[in-house]
Amino acid sequence: MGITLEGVNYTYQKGTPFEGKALFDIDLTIADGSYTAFIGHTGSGKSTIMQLLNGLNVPTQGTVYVDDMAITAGSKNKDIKLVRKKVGLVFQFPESQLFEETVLKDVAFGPQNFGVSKERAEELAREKLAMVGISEEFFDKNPFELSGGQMRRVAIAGILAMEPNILVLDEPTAGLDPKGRRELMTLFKELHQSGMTIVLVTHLMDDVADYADYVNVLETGKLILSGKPSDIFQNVDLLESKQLGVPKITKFAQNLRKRGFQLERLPITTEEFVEVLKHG
Amino acid sequence: MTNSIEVRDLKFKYDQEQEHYTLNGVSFHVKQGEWLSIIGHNGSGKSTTVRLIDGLLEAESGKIYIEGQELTEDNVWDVRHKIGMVFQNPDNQFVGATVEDDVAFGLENKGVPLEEMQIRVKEALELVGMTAFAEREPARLSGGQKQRIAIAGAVAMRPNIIILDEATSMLDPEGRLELIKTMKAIRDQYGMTVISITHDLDEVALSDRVLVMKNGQVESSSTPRELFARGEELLALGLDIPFTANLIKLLRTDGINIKDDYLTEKELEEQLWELLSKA
Amino acid sequence: MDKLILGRYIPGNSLIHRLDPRSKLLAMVLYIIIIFWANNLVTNLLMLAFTLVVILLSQVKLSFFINGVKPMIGIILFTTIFQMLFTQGGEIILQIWIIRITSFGLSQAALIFMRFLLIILFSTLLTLTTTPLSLADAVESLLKPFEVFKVPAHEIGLMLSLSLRFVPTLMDDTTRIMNAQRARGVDFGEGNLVQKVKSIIPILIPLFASSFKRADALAIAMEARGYQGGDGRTKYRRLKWTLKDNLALLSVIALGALLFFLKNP
Repeated sequence: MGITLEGVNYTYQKGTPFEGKALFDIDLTIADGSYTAFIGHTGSGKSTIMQLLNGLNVPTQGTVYVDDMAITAGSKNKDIKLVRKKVGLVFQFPESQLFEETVLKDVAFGPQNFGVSKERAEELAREKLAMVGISEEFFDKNPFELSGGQMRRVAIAGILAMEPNILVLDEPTAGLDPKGRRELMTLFKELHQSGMTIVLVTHLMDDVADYADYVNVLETGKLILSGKPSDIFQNVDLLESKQLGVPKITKFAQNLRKRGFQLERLPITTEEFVEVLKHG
Repeated sequence: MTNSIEVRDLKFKYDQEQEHYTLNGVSFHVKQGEWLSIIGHNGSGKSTTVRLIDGLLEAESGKIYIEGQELTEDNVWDVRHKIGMVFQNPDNQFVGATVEDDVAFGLENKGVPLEEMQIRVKEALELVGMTAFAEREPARLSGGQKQRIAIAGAVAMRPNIIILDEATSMLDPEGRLELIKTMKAIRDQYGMTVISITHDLDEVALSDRVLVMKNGQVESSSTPRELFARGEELLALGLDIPFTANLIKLLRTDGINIKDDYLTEKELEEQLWELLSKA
Repeated sequence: MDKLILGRYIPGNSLIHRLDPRSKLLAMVLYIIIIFWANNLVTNLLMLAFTLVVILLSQVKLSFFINGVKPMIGIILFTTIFQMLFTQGGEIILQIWIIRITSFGLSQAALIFMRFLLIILFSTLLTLTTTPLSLADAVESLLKPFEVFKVPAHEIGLMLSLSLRFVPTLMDDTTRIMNAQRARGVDFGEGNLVQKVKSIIPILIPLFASSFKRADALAIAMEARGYQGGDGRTKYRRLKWTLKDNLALLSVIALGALLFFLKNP
């Protein structure tokens, strides 16, 4: 189950004096089972696209195809509600969405909004909480008693409990310490390996290189580049001119190349670089 | 030369009923004009320590000396004028309705006369490169810009010591870089003592010395270079492994023997180029 | 969410814009007091003329004023018609079944209508030409002399300016939380009344929680920046009372005097 955007345009606050166009003729596909990254500045349209992927917003023009559902400007909320379940959206600093009396109840909240029974929802909640590494002793605690990192994992469990086919993540590791970041990225990798499609919106190019198999580059509402990370990151100068970086190793290798070292392709991971050196 | 800050055997716990101490005998000093990084896993006591230094919390036992003067309940407010603090959340320390209002806040509190305030606000804004934003509202600033205003607000007080409590952890890479550059420029120009709590390798790399905190105690004190050479341990200490350290490790497994455990990117580039161009 | 809606301030450099917010606030208070002396045609025309002149001086487009009146139109019409139908006295102008409209009822209705209109026009004028922040400053400054009577003028001023500072931030928080909950399947504004009210809880609780966190962190930051309350504090933002402010107040007082003499006893 993938997502396709066809000729998508989006104008916010249409019809008011504050209206503005956020997306221009976007055509892209998020392949089923892929780990797709979106990179771009604040204002590039990343957040707008995210909210189109799960039907929170509908396109002003064009169509968003999620599985067999077509979302257009005229789509009514009740018809596309199911999309929000199929495509789980984790916003930045998701811990701010917690509100229930207990951790378990909060995680069980989402599924119940889609008709899942309370018992089944709690079952799912237990499952997903274990998956994100929250132990049982916390299940009956008030979510506000947990640490920031723990609250974030509870929030993510809350989205996973809806059993989405596609997980969209907006800077999921923002504000976390290195250990917390690694744990989360490992979790997403495992989810991906078990068949979930992952969409990652990020600023961290090293993460894109380490995890993603496809990347879309956005700038002021337009798709300017898309392809495999190893191809996209060859354009070091272009990306830097747009103030989007490249993985550290890629920049490092480029510096070596500038000195005269022969490198056909710039590596995007440290392992790749070392391999290249090994084989001359 | 007196130490800028001296901390002796601090003990503290947030809740009298909890068993373990958040700070369990912390001692260290910071030299005048030094840039000290404090790193450690979450809960190791980093934030608690700097809040004690600024008198925002009161220790159960132990002593704190700011520029040779012992910090007590009576002189807390005076001592505080010597210390400027920048916190983690850009929004939750922005008091003013506009940028210049916020920079003036500390000056207002001190009772600085209007003409003097206007001069210092202008200076401070220039220092952080935000002069054009003087009348802007905070809601229309990015996180990085708000943090730069926080620094301006601190600097306007002309403190001898600036403390950054994870000031970059909520910023995007661009904002982070901006802030670190600003801090460095200010430090270089005014020579103030800087303490920065951080998880960011680039920020640590800029500092003169790194204090590692673990479980409410000082685990070690070293230069950034010495710290980065500790490799795998760094994760448990609340830092990433520097990219170059990781690269060196991998190069060694393939027979490319770089002697040092850690080098800066430029240094590694040099060494590698030498090795490769000879091969 | 629109950020301009709050206060509806329209930037400009007219005479009215440049008045000290304190004189504008005081003028408004006086205006509302003297309007009750406008109880006949002459006095009402005088008030209307005065108000129109000030509106003209503000150089703000009439459409903004109309937009200021629009939301209140329902209540104005309701009250006017109510007066017309239920205040009895004088000749009977119209009688249908049990509904009786009298001349007195008509005149009272007209009076009520004028008063509503004028008050709304004048207060709209105030908010269109004065930033919320300067109004907060004005309130603090006007309350300052009452500090002798333990009125916490400084604290009130600080509360007002902090609230203004955080309103856009909290609105952003609300939008973000709403979107996050919608992504979890909550439908706002749909369903029966009970459902609609229930759907507010997933917004209200996180919003309160984050607001408390903000307040906590802010208090610590303020303390770290040397805040100890109002004593010994100087102010960066200053208000300047000039001659034109005196004139503005005088003109309202003069208007009041005129009304007093020209009104029906």
